[in-house]
Amino acid sequence: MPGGCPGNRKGQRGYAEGGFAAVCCRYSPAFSIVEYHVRMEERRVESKAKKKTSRLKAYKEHWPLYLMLLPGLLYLLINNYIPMAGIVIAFKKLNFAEGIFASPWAGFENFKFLFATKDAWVITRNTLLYNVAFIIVNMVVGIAIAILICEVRSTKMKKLYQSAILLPFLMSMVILSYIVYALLSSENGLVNNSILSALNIDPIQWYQEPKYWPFILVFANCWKGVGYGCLIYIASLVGIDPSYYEAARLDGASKWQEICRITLPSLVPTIVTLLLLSIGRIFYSDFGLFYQVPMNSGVLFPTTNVIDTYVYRALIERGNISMSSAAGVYQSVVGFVIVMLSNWIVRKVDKDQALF
Amino acid sequence: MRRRKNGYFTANPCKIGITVKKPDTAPARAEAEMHSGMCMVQAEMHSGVSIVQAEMHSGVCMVQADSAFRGVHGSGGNAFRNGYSRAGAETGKGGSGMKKKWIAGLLAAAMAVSLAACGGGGSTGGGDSAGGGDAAASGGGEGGEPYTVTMVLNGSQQPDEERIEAKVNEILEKELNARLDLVVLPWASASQQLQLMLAGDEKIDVFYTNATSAVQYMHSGQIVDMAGLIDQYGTNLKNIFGEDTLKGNSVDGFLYGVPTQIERGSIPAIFMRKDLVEKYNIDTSAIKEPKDLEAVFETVQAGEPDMTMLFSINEGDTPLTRLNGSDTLADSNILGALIDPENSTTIENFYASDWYRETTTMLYDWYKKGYISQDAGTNTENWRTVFKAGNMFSLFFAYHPGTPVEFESSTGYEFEIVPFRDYPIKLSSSYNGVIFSIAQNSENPEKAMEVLDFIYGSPEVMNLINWGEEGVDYVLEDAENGVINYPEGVTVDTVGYSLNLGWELPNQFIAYKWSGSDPQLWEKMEEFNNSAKESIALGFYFDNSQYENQIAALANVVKQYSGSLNSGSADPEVYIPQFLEALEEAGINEVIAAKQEQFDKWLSEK
Repeated sequence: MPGGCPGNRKGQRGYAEGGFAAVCCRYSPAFSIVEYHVRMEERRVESKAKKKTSRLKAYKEHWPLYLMLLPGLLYLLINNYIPMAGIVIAFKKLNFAEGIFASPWAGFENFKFLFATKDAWVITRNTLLYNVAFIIVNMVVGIAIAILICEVRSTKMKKLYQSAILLPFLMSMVILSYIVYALLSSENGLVNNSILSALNIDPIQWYQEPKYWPFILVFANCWKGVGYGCLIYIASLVGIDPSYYEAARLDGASKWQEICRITLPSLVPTIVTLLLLSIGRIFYSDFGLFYQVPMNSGVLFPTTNVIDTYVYRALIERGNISMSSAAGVYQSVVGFVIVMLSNWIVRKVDKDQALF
Repeated sequence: MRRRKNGYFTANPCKIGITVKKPDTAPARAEAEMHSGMCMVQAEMHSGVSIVQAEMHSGVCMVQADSAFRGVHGSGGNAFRNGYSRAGAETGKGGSGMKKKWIAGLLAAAMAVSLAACGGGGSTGGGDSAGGGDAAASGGGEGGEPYTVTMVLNGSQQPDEERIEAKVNEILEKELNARLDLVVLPWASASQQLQLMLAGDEKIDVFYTNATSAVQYMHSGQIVDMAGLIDQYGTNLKNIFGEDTLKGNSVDGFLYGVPTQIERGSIPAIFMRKDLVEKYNIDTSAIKEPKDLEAVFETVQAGEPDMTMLFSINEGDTPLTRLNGSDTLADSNILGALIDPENSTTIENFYASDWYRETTTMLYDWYKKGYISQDAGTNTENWRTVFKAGNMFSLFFAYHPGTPVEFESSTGYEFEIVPFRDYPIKLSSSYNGVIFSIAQNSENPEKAMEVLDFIYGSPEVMNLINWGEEGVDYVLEDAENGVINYPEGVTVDTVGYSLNLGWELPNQFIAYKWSGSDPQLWEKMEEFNNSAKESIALGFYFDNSQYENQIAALANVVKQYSGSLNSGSADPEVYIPQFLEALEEAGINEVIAAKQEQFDKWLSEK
């Protein structure tokens, strides 16, 4: 029987038409840049002595490719490197009349408010734990849905499901917050007034009970974000060589065995890449999710306050640029350390899977 | 040179898009298109999940990250003066982790460093506004080219603004050899846009603000000291307010702003729907203090089970805020207040006061009895909207002579108003809640001051700015009392200019009143203001610049507890002790002590 998505040629064409894989661009010049670099690396390994001359020669040979690299490098330089000079703002008492570099130094004064109360522990814990939960839940659910969607035989239905799952991703957090509110509101909410009352359970004041919110937020985030991760997993599922599945079927493997022995192992590189990428953002939080969805209800802060919302609430009235920069620097430094660390761990386990 | 109007979103972008895809499934694509002036850079890494996007506009580059907040308040908020750019970058991290590792590594290394800060490059537009400004500045003298004063307000921009500006300029050119350029920033983004205008090299002379922001601007060198300017050019201002009141808006002798003409102080009152008060024969004379309302709510609730008795919200116009008679010393978080503003000189912890405990207990009791909405703790809906929907009976609000008409026109219902006090009290914020300041960016602060002061004394200019052109945007309905209305065939939707922001403009008391207002409104308002008693702290402003860290931490504590307590939706027995403990931990005693110290010093110098 025509099995999973990878073996389903019809399905594969469907994706190409949908533009997800963009296979048509296979021979564009930028691809050759990558190819070229790989070849360069191989050559370098071959002969270290010849390195210099061959590289020079390569520059001459492939100058149009380097020229095409230029806008990208320029972008990185202008957008990512030059602005780094602004880190000094976090350590300055900024005065606009004097300008950034002439403003007096403040040392670590601007960082103090982040650690002034025991909230520092709460917001750091919330930020980290929520992100860990988001990463795991979104990954597991994302992969499961991707596999399920690939099993759908009708191309039309497949596209329909995919779009339906992606749709919440395109919604604004404010809309999501009101969808949640429509469900959980004390006076008019669906859960209290239709579901719990039908089950003879006393209504719950959702927006007054911090303990439910870790589940509500993880669920809401999953509902909203899973479609995007799903797309990436579907794209790599399409790339799995169909002959593996054919061979497995000839050997009498069950669907479950196919998933466990072929699909999941083939997805590992994608999973690791996505994992490392999301770990880098582990110290950032989705401001909209944590600010809008709990409707800014103060009682819920113990389980909904994260670094970004804390900084927002602390500085919204003051507009202190130095202090907000300090918060940004703190998040960046910790994020950087975590990326380096997790990449180092991945490299210890499997060198090929590491990012760098 | 094209003058920019209000903000940074006006010119053509140049776009460089870079798309990098996983090498073995889909190759990369690069494209670049450039238009003049500005540049927008966008890169997407499809093999990963990070989208990096930054926009640079002439002189200003704002960050667009997954959360809009971070761009402005978080990692990417920095600014250069003098035509450099405000820049921020929100970087993800990227790289495709398959085989071609070193290019992936290059990308990843570049993007992993998620830092955002400021850059000085790529600002093509800096000279744009500066050039325009220089031209204008050179013509400052009498007889030369008129100087254009840019006045920044908050509100909704009017379609026929240029027509009105032309009319205003006819007057100003003749009288002062100046012009006026109105810039109206939309409410939602006004504070960010104003911050950017002040931080960049934008043309801005006078702007509407409040003391809290103004003192912040003062410390970052973004506004000028107006004391000397008022001495020289503030004839009308001195006539209206008197020099003492004007000097009240100073910190260490730096005069940060001048007040507009509004009501001074207010009276806490209960506003009840008149139709229901009459239907249930409620004796309003029996209502002396807030807790007498309990009996009223009981009666009305019995007859109208589907209605909510008292409006409540989690921030802003909460019942508790509106009943509060203490002087909060212009601090929205109320970190230390004068509980008895007429007599006491001791600054106390507002949240530890008996009044706070009693009032929150009363509100929580009403909440449990169903007089206050069960969703009060999360409600952010404005009272006007809620009353229009027809399900709300009453509201605590501040009374002044203008409120009855304002309430009726904004909700469609008549209200029975019972004040809880006979007289208003002028609080420390009465003269600095709505002010005009002069920006450091102004090339000619003298002319800006002159024009501002002129408007305080010119009914023609006030009417033009607030209501538009006579005969086109309004007609006189009652010439004797100066009451106006739309001309025949013109409505709120079709009118070309009707700013209708009297309180935000320098002097509404000399301008026309809109139809439906009390014909003697301004006289009554003056009378009301004159009847007010004064808080001992009137004119005092706490300079908190040395306590930024404590105040930032305290702001979070207050936001955590005050919304639920002030709206009546949390049990004071449980939450007030927690609240007080958290406040103490975050350093409220230090702030109160500092406030007291400054206050004592201010009192002794008074």
